[in-house]
Amino acid sequence: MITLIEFIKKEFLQLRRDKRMLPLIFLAPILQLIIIGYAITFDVKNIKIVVCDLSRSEESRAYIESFKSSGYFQIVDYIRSQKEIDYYLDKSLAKIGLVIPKNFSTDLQKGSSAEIQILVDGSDAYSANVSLSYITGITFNFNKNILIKYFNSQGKGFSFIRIDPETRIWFNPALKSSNYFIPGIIGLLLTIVTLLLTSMAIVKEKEFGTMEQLIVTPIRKVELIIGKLIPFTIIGFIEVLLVLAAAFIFFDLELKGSLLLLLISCIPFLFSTLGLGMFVSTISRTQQQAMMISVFLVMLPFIYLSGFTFPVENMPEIIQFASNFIPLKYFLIILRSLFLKGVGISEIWDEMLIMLAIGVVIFTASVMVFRKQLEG
Amino acid sequence: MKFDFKSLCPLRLLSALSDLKKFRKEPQSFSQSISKKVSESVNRILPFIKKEFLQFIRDRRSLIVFLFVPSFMLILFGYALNLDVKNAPFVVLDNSRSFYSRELISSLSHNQYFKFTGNVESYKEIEHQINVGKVKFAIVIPDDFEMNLFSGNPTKIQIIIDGTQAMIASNIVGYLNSYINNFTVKYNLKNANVSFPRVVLNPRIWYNPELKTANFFVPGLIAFIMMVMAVVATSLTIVREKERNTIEQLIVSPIRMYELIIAKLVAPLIIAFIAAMLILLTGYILFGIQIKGNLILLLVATMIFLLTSLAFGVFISVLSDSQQVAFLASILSTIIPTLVFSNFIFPISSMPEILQYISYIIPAKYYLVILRGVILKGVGFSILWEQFASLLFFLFGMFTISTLLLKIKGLR
Repeated sequence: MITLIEFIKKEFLQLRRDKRMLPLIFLAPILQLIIIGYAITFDVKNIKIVVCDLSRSEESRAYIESFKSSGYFQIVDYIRSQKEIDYYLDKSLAKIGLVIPKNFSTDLQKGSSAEIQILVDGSDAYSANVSLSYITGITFNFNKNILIKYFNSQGKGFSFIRIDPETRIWFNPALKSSNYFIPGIIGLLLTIVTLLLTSMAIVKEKEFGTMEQLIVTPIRKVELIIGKLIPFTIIGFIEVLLVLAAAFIFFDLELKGSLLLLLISCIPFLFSTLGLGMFVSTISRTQQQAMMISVFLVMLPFIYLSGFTFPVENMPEIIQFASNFIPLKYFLIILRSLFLKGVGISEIWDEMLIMLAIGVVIFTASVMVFRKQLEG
Repeated sequence: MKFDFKSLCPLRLLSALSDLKKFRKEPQSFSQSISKKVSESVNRILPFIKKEFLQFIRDRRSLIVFLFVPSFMLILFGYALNLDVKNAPFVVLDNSRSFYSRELISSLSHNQYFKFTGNVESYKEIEHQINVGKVKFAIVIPDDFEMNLFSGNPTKIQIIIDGTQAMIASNIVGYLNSYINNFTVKYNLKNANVSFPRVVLNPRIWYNPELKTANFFVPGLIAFIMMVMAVVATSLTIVREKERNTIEQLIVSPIRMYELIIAKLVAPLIIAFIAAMLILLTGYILFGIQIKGNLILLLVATMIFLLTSLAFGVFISVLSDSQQVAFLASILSTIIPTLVFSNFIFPISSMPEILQYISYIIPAKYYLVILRGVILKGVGFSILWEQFASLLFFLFGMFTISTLLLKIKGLR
C-alpha cells in the first residue's frame, strides 16, 4: 500500500513537471468545445441560389422576393440564360438553380398552372432535401395568396382545401442541433483526453527502458496499473467539471435531469475509457503503435459508431452490433436523456452498468496481458 | 545565435536562385551548377530515404495497420454514415375518422419513407410510443378536419416528431410537407372542376438523383481517413528522434534540414499512397463510387493532398517536445478540425461567419471539393484549379515553416 502511494506521488510529480502537457490537457478541450459547439450544426441555412427569371413580371418578382424574405436562401446571381446554371452548379457557386418560365405571369393571370423548374445539386442529399422542403413551403404560401386574390377578383366563392401542418418537435423544440451535439462533444473530448493520457502511459516506460526499473521495485503489477490510473482518473474528473462548466457558460444548455446523476454517470464512463487506453498501452510496443491503435481502433469508431453524429438505428445490423462495444454510445444516451428528456436513474441504470462491465473486462484483460508480457 | 538565411530556403533550387547574381557573370555555368547541386542533394537524401523506408517496414505490425486498417475503416463507417429516412414508423390519432382523413393517411403510408404502424386513441399513447422509441412521429387529425376542409377554412393538423435526432427529424418534416402539399393540390384539382392559378414545382436533382446521403458522405470519409492516416504516420517521426536524442546525430550529419524533411516525407508517402489506392478501390467496389471525371486528375490530387497532410504531421512533430504532446496536438489540430470544418458532414455555410474562416486552413476542405467534384459531378481541372493551387500553397507553407523551425531548434 505504501509503495502504491509513493508510486502515485511519483506519477503526479512527473505530470506536474511536463510543462506543455498539462495546460494542453486542460485548456484545449474547453477551447475545442466552444469552437465546435458553435460551429457544428445540421441546420441548413444560407442556401445559395441562382435565379434565371425569364418572365420579368410583377408575379415573378414577388415569387423571388418570397425566397429572399424566407431567410433561408441567399441569391448569388441573376442570369439570363438557363444554360449558365450548369456552370454555377458545377463550380458549387450555387446549390440551386431557379428557372421561372417566360409565360409565368400570363399563365397565372389566365388562371392556369405555371411550372417552375428547380435544379438541385443533389450531391449533399440531406441539404438538398431540406432545401426542397423549404421551397415547397414557400410555394405553398405563394399559391395560397394568389389563390385568395384570384377568387376575390372573380367574385366567386370557391372553397379550396388548405391543410396547415402544425409541427411540434418534442425533446428539442427548436430543432437546434447544438442541443443534440453538445452532449456528444463533451463525451468525445473526455474520451480523447483520457485515452491519450493512458494509452501512452505504459508504452512510454517500455520505450524509454524505464520499465525494467519499475519491475525490480517491490510494486505489484496490479498496483502499477492502478498507480498509473489514479492520477489520470483525477485529471479526468477535473476535466469533466471544467468542460461541463464551459458548456453551461457558453451555451444556453438546460439540464432537465439531475446534475448529481450526470456526475455519477461520468464515473463508469471514465473507468471504461481509461481501461481502453491502458489496454492499448499494454499491447503496443512503441508510442507510434499506441497512437495508431488508439486513433484507428478506438477514436474513429467512437466518433462514427457511437451515435455522435449518425443515428445508430440507421446503421446496418452488423454495425449496430459492433456499436454495442463502444462505451461512448451508452454515455451519449445518458447525456442526451439527461439534457433533453430529463429522465431519472431508473431509465439509465442499465447503460451505466454496461459501461462499468466494459471497464471491468478491459481492465482485467490489460492486467493479464501485462503480466504475461513481464513474465514472458 | 548564428543565422544563415541562405540555407533556410526550402528547396535547393531556390537557394541556387538566390546565388543568381554570382552566376550572371558566367551564365554557362548556371545550369551546370544547379544540376551539380541537385545531384549532391539527391546523394545525401537517397540513403536517408532508404533508412526511413527500412524503419517503416521493419515494424510489421504498424505497417499492416497502416496499409489495411484505413480501408477497413471505410467499410465499417461507410455503411454507418447515413441520414436517409427509410420506413420511419408513425402512428395516427384520427379524431375525424372521415374519408379525407383516411385518404390523407393512406397518401402518407404508401411510400418508402414512412411506415404506418397503427391508430392510437389518445395523446398519452403517442407520448408513450415516442418515449420508448417505437415511432418517430405521430399525426393528430382534429375532429373538425373534414368540416373545415369543406367550409374553406384553413385546416390544422398536428405533427409530433421525436426531435432527439435533429437531422432525421428535419428530413421527416421535409418529406411530410411535400406529401401534404401534394395531397391538397390533388384534391383541389379534383373538386374545383375549374382551373385556378397556381405555381407548380418541377424539381430536378443533379449529380445524385436518388438523393442518397452515402454518395455525399463516402467521399468525405475517404478524405478524412486519408488525412488521419497521413498525420498519424508523420506526427511522431521527428519528435521521436528528439525524445531518443538521435536528432543530434542528424544535426551533425551533412544532411540539410529541408533534405531531412523531404526524406521524412517520401517513405510514408509511398506507403500512404498504396493505402489510399486501397481506400479508393474499396469505395469503388463496395460503395459503388463511380468516378465520373478523370481518374488521373483524382490520383494527382490525392498525391498532393497526402503530401500536404504528411507535411502537416511533420510540422506538428517539429513543434512538439514529446511524443505525447505530438499525439494530443495532432488529434486536436487535425482530426477534430477536419471532422468539423471540411464540409465533410457539417455544412460550413450554416456556421457563424467568424468560424467559417477556420475552414480556409483545413486542407481536407479543398481536397474534398476535388474529390466530390471529380467523383459526383465529373468536372475537370478548369473548374477545380483553385483547389489544387490552395493545396500546393499549403504544402509549400508547411514545408517552409517546418524547415525554419527545425533550423532554429536545431541550432539551439
